[in-house]
Amino acid sequence: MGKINGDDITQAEEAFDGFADSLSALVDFEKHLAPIAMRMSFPAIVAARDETFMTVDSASDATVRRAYARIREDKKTTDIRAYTHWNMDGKNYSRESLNVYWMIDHGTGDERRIHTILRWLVEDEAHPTPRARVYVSAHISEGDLAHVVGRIRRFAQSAS
Amino acid sequence: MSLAGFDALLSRHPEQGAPIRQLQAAIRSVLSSDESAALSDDHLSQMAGLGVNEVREWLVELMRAHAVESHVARMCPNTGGASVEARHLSELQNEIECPRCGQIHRYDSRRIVVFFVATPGLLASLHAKK
Repeated sequence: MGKINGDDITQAEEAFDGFADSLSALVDFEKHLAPIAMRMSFPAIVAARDETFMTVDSASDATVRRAYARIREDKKTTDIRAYTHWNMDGKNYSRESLNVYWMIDHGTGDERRIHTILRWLVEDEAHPTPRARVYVSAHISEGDLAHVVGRIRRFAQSAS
Repeated sequence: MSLAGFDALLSRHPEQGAPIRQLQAAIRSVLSSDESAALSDDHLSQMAGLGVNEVREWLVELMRAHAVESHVARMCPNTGGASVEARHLSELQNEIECPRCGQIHRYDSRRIVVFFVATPGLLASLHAKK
């Protein structure tokens, strides 16, 4: 699957439709694939501090929407969840998207941080099944990509 | 104990003892909670109750004393944090895929900020026993 530059949802949807068409002889996406509730996994992913790293977070409770962003660039700063005033753990905080690094081989000399933006897309008449998108910001190995997708799937299955 | 660079600052500007100590207290407070914090003139100005230009001049003097170093950053218009930062403006590319929001950002001088960060010497003086 090709890389889409930028975080453009329309572009991603069009590219995905093209991707699905190209596989239509082999795969019926509606029949052969089971959707998972990725959005429901957001609180668990945020709570998984031993395998994720975050420098940006935006969430709402029933009263207030709050956004936090580390001022310094990602590789020169610390996790936003360690900030004194950040306290957006738990199911009371909902997010339209989750901006998170996945730490692979954490604590070893070969640690990699894979940056993803998980975004929930509002369903509409054309797409009645709730959809979400995983944006990966860099070219990464197939193994690391499989790891990240696998972890997101596991979190989503656990939350469903 | 004084933070690195401040004794020299006080000796050069003995008549400015009070504001220099106010700035030192503000920097100590910021670094005590986050050693990698961005030290910005407007934020320190508010914390120390000093003018922005005054703080800026002290920070430049502290940079000459190797207590802080200047950084430039491209701020992400969507998240508010730095997309990328560098020591010099010339190191910033014209177009980047922002690691904060995933969108493509083209160079916009209105999104460039300058701030200072503590050097290892300043951090060592922060940890030194009083």
